[in-house]
Amino acid sequence: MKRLILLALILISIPVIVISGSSKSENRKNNYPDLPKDDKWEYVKERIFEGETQNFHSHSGPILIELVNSRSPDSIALESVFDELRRVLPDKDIDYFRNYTGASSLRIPQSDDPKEVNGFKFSKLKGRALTLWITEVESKKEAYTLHDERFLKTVSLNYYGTKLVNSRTRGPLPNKRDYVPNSRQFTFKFHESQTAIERMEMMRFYLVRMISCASLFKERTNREFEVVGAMLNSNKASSWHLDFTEYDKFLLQKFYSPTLVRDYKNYMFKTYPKWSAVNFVNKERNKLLANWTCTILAVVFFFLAFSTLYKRQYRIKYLSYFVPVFVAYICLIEMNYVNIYFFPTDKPFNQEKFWFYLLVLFTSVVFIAFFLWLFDKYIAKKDMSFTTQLVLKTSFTLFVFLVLAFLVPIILSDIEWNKIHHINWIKSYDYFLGFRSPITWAFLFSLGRGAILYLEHFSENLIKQKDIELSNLKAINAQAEVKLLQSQINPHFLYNALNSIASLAQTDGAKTEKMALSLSDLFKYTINRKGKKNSTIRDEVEMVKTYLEVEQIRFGDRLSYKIQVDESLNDIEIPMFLIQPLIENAVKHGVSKIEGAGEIQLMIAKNKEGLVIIVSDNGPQFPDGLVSGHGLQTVYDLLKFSYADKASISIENEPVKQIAITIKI
Amino acid sequence: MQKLYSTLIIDDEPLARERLEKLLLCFPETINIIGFAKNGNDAQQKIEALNPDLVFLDIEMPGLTGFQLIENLKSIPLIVFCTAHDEYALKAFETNSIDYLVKPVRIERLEKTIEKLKHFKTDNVSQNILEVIKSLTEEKLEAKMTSITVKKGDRLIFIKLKDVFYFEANNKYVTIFTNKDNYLSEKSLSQIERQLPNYFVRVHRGYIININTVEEVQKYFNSRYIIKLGNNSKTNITSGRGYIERIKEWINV
Repeated sequence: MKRLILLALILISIPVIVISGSSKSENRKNNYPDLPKDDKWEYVKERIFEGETQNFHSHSGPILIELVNSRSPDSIALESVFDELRRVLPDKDIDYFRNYTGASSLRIPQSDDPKEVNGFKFSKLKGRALTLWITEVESKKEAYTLHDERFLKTVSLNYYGTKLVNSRTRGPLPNKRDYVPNSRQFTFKFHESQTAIERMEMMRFYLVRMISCASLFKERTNREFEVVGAMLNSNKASSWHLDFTEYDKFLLQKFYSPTLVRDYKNYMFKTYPKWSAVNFVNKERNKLLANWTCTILAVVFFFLAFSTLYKRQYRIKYLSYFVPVFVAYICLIEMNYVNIYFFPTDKPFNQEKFWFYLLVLFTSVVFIAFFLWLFDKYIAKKDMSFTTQLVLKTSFTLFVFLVLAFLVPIILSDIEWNKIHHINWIKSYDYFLGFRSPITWAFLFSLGRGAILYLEHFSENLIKQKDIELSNLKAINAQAEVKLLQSQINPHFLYNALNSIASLAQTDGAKTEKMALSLSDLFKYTINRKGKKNSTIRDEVEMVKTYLEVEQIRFGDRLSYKIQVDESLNDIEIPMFLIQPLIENAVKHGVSKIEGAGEIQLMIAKNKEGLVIIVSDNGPQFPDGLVSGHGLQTVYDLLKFSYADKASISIENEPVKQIAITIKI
Repeated sequence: MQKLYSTLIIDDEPLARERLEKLLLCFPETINIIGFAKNGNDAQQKIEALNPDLVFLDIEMPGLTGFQLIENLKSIPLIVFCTAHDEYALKAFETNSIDYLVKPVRIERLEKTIEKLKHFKTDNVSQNILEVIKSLTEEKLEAKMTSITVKKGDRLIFIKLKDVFYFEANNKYVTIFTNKDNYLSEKSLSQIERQLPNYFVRVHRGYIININTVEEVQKYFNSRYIIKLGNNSKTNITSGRGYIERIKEWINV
């Protein structure tokens, strides 16, 4: 019970915490409009750190350019770019390759190439140099301009090979899919009509983007800080008005500053509230924290839920499917919430959405449970072999979960606010792998269910085996008992009878003989039926008559009896010694307890229920509840043994005191 | 000094009466048979009417119990008890110097009785007789209960008491737990308790357990015990604080 309460507490408190904390997201959405932000730093934050991580790549060492096929105005233009850049990055060497090393980067290694320049290996410098080719094209159409889609696209999407660039990454390397064979080379297509300034601008554009590895910047979305016209603003080919703004210069500066990370951190913590600053600066660590929290939470949930729900019996079978699935789904949502807590999204808490999601979820849980229950009831039946059942159940569970995993997002995506989100999600890689994916959970659940079914079956089997052994022993025991029961005549009866004989011996020889012979008949009945369990009704009634004769001698006129047997039933077989204990009971507790004349009646007939044997007497009523003596218990056991559920005993006190055995034949 | 005792023979079985009469006719100096009675009521009437000195009284008779009979008498005659088989009672008899006879009576034994009578002192025996008869009849009432019956619709089910692990009281009925199945009885727990043999102990307001099926008893807080039973489901029962004395009694046995 305590565990249940604990589980419920946790489950309720988590969304409350998260939702209350989502007030932060209001701020986030508007990007903290009321904080003292430095625009330039914001720009840096967005571009280099993708708003999130500390991963970025830069060139180390000098930046050397080889200009090929240029005319003098072009090389002068490039020089001015160099100058501009040198002003921005005073600590960096930016120069023509030849100027820096005295050799060319394009030729095969020559013997007079320097081995080292300024501490850098020549071969390395060669490898890292950027080569710009200038071609003059005939038609204007072929030429690139700064606003030309082709130009923008090509430069924008120039990926850098990770091997080439000396990255200042902290943490894991970016995905392999970022790797594209390096493009240290670029061809400019100029037309003679283009001015020097145009050319300069294009070359500058290329250079600045190359230096800052801008192609690795995160794709800008509309909500981020917009710096109009900045060169490094986005990767889209359709960015217009590209200038080398102050922002870009600031970015470059910071980019190559050795204290970049520290400065960035300082800025973040100074401007933003601590929690979101941490989120920005230490995204990796945050992720780790979130994952661990989720894992621990998952373990706790599993433990609590499992121990409270396992082996619970419900009155309605359906519930035993519904409850676990429901709890499991709720736990999943909770973990999702925990995730949101660590990585708050920009979306504010939408009440409507929340309740709608819950509704959809609840319906889907209801359906899942319903289908599972139906399946188990009608298809994977109990009489199938266990393996078949296991396979069927597991695969059906998987099927149901998968279907829902696909259906639900599609349903949800029809709703306005979700359209893009969900369809994108389905298409994305993420949907199929990893712990966020419903596909993974579908597999996990069905595997889990299969494992539990198997374990249950396994332990059940062990118990069953023991049970079988036990019931075998019991059966043997019962048989022995029955044998014993059947061979017993109550010793008290014998004792009384013998006493009577002793009394009669001297006075009434005839009666003595009769009594002795009756006793002998009774015992003959018992002894000679070796091994046989049943005898006919005729024989049993005969035996009962003999018994009553003996007792009558003892009681005199205090005992009278009447026997009524339906003739047609005489040959029906019943267990031996079934009726005698009833008669004995009637004598012992009935007749001997009253002062006047006692009457016992035995009636055997057939009615719609089957064979009916009734013994009635006019003695005191049957006691209610506890019974002394073994007689009636013996009859009950005998009936159970021979007929199982087909026979029953009933006792009445009104209108007539009687005990009746009914046997269905 | 030979006293002649007027004697009444009280026995419900005619054969036994005849036999005793025949035997007593062998002692005509001591015994004078004045009448016979065949049950308690009859005996009371005859004693009051005939006022015998001596009575041969059969214990196992219908109607008035021996105790009630004696209670109802204004003056109690000397009594020789006849009993079928009860050693307890026999002991009680010995200490109270009333004689007893085991049925069927043998002549040699009857002679001893007659001898005792000859040397008998008629001081206050009446009081003792009452006590003896009382204890006798009470003993008889404690016939060992061996089964309990439970109604299921119009069927009757007999449950062996030795198979019962425990009784549990619910709101309206009592549940009887055996290894095979659970049964419901409409009696109250207290009603059942009164009739159960002494290997059933009430350990809680709602529980009576069969002490022969107990595997383990553990001490618990607040002067309670946890009693582990040996049934298939290995039930644990926590005792109630008010029953601690009875439990301690049982455990220390």
